[in-house]
Amino acid sequence: MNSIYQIIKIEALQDFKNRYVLSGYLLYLVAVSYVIFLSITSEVSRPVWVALYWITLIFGSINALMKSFYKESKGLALYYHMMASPRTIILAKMIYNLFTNIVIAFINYGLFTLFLGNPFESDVRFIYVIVMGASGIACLLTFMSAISSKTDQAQTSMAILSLPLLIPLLISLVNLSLQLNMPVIRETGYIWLIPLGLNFVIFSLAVLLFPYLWTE
Amino acid sequence: MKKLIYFTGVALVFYSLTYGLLKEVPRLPILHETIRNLFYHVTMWFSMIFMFGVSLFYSIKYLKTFRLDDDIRASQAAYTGLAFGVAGLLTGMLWARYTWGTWWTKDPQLNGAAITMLAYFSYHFIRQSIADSEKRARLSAVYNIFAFALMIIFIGVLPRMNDSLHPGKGGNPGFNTYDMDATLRVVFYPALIGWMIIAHWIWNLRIRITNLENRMYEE
Repeated sequence: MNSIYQIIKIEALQDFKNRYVLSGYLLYLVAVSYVIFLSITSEVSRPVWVALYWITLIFGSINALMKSFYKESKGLALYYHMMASPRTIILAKMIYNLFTNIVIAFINYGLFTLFLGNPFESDVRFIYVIVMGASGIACLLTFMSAISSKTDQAQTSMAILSLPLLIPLLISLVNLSLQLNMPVIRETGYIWLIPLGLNFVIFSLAVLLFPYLWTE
Repeated sequence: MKKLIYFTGVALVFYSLTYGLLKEVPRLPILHETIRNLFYHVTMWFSMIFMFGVSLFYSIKYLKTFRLDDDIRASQAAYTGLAFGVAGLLTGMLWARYTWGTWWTKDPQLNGAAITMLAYFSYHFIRQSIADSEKRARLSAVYNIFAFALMIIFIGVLPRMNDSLHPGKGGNPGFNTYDMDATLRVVFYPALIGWMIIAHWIWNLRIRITNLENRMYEE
């Protein structure tokens, strides 16, 4: 438990030292939101808003989390290898990326509200959707970053590997977001559990499979 | 013995091609005669799942034994499954055009099919972007297991929870909506077995070709 916390602290300090990574991510989101704002000429309906929000978040996360395993110098990678078990490393990285992505998802929500209005008005249940979505995306992309950092073409393989597996998550999040304005939620609650279930599956699969990747 | 089994497989497929197209089929609304596609489209998907299951088995086996032979079996099974999946997609699109009026639609089953294809094409991509054979084997085995688990959820679990245009889904899995009592099953089950045998044969040939290629490159 302590070593997980230590690694999270190292990750946080690294990101603080190289602030350009996270601020690059934020800048990307601001730029994309503004481009969307300029391209949309009429009122944005809720389905369009939801679609744009999740697409922006997914592509931004792919760009940002690509560096998750790739940014380390050889020295730090060796240090990690000697000091902590692979399970610790993947847990720490996923937890750290999860929290970062949730914060950034909220900032993106704020940006979208600023430029495109808030289709949810005072409905706070979208917060649940954001938390589930951002954490699922972060866990999946952390694991994919671990795989793609070992290939010869890291950037393209990161996108190609993660997009098919992100699609189920995307579909469930979009469905759930659109359900929020229905007076009666159909499927009696299944639809709320699907993102949670997917997160759980992704998280546990990544923790189970990561030690096989880390044997170098 | 193996030749006999493979020959039986081909014979069964020929049987399904001839008798399947000639025999009387029950008339169901919307489907009419196109229900014959059951023998070709559904068998493709079953063969694909069979091949991906084999691929998963050998991927897990590779992570236990670290023998490259297991990795070759896993990857060739995935490629064979991919070929069957593409055939399944094409026959399905053809079927959709004549029953639903469109080549493609937003349906959980079709989404699952598309994502499965994309994920295994990515598997192919990841394999060909790594040069070192041991690293390639390990990474692709891990990705295979991860993708397969997510696929099972997305093809098996989610369509049953949502309504779907596909017959048999929307809370009622299986083929109960067809008149599958005796008339169609006579052709369907032999066709299924025949196509699975052919899939196994193709996989076997691919493994042998790959082994020969590797031996050729070594010398």
